Amino acid sequence: MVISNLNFGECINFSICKRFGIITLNRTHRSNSFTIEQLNFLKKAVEYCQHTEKIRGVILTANGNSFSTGMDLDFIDGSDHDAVKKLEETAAAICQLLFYGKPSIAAINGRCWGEGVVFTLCCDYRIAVRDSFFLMPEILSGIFPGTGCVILMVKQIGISWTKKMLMFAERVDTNTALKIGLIDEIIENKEDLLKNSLEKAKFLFPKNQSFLNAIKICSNHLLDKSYANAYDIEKIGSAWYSYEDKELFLKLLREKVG
Amino acid sequence: MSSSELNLGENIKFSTKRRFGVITLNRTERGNALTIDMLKDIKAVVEYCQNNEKVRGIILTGNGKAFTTGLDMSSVDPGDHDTVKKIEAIAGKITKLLFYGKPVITAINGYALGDGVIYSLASDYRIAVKNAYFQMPEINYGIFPGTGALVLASRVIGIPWTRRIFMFAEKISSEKALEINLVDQIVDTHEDLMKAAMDKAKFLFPKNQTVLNAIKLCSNHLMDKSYKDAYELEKMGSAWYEYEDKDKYIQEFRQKFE
Repeated sequence: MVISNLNFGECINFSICKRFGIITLNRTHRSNSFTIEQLNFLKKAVEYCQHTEKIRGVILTANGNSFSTGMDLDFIDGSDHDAVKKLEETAAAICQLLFYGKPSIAAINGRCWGEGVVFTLCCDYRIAVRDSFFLMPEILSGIFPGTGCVILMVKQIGISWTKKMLMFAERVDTNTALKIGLIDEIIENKEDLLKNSLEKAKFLFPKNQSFLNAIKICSNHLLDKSYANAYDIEKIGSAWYSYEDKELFLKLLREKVG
Repeated sequence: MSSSELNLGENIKFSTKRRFGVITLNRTERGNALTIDMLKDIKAVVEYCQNNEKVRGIILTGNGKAFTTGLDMSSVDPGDHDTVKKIEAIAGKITKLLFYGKPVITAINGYALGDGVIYSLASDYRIAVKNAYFQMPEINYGIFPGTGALVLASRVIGIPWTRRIFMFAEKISSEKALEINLVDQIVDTHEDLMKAAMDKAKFLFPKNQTVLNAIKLCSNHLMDKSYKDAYELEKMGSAWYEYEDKDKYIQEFRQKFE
């Protein structure tokens, strides 16, 4: 289903399938690198998915041979600190929406750099085509890769790989990405990418959504808690059925994990 | 600056290459087992590297067939609790300096026991010769492996491997160490080892040192923070350019993780 009355700009395509919002980055002539405008639209699209009841999750993918090569540095004046901060805030808001919000699937169609890696880390299931690769080039330009990147990395791929990617800008192929927990599945043919993503969506959308979202929140946020504190949060998850308003229940749980 | 200028004993060698301080354990007749004097020298030379503007990082290695076999038990009376505490305080301080301070590359030239494992855990890039192995034998002697070992191990290699190494004293080959993130690279010979270590130093020393050190701090210390708290700290990393005095900025940033 194509939503015609929604406008996310030329560089973001949006449709709905299997009750998942499919967000497709579509700035292929610049390898799907992000402009400020496109990031704003991406945030709007993710927010739309979070706030629309009939949508139960997000699939993030891209057209062309790159998933994303990160920020388009030709379109950003690095010395304009206010603009850079605003940009970082937008990217960070997208990360938080994906990491705290409804289930998300990343369908990685090729090169995945910078913010592309960060958005991948926010998603709950990550499928990549075989010849994709992952790179954080920020250290080469003296940029600190903020926006939630380091937090997401250390908790998912561990301290050693975080440092290899961020301090040494090590290029990670799909086999390594699978081994270290940066992705969950490799596919050989690009044609299967959306098909496999939709299969995961198909698995998730008929499930109890309160339950599913509670599992996601606990999975993403209990690592940094003491056992006793984490168990108290888990108990809220276990008692999901005792909350009449399920939206309120998830809101409470999201607030609890900090 | 060399070993003689720093007034180090003969068991610790020091030189500077590629703006990295190269610290070499040199008590080959005893498998580079550490005495109190050696620990004091390591602490002094690591502090020198941290406080010297010209030095941008540390390479830690050993001469001979062992990286280090850990504390020389024959130099310590385990019943002398005051002395044991003093040793632990020095060893603990070294671990902390490595984990919080400038980038550290460890070039593991042979078997690494006790403190050898801890130095590897505290470093940012670890290269080992293929016949190196790792072991924490403390449980066999009824010694608690303090000095930061368990903090680092559970975060860097995860809980299951921490248990196998510390509770069951499992001997870990270099291949296994690579698999579990105890090392990052394996090389064939000692010549390859130093070349690989220098290559990494060569990659790091021309980079923006403020960004590099900020990335290191966040990579090492965000795992135990909630997403929201961690993001506040990341924002301090992103805003590095706003601080006029970069040394003061890094010092303040380090204090945030105390």
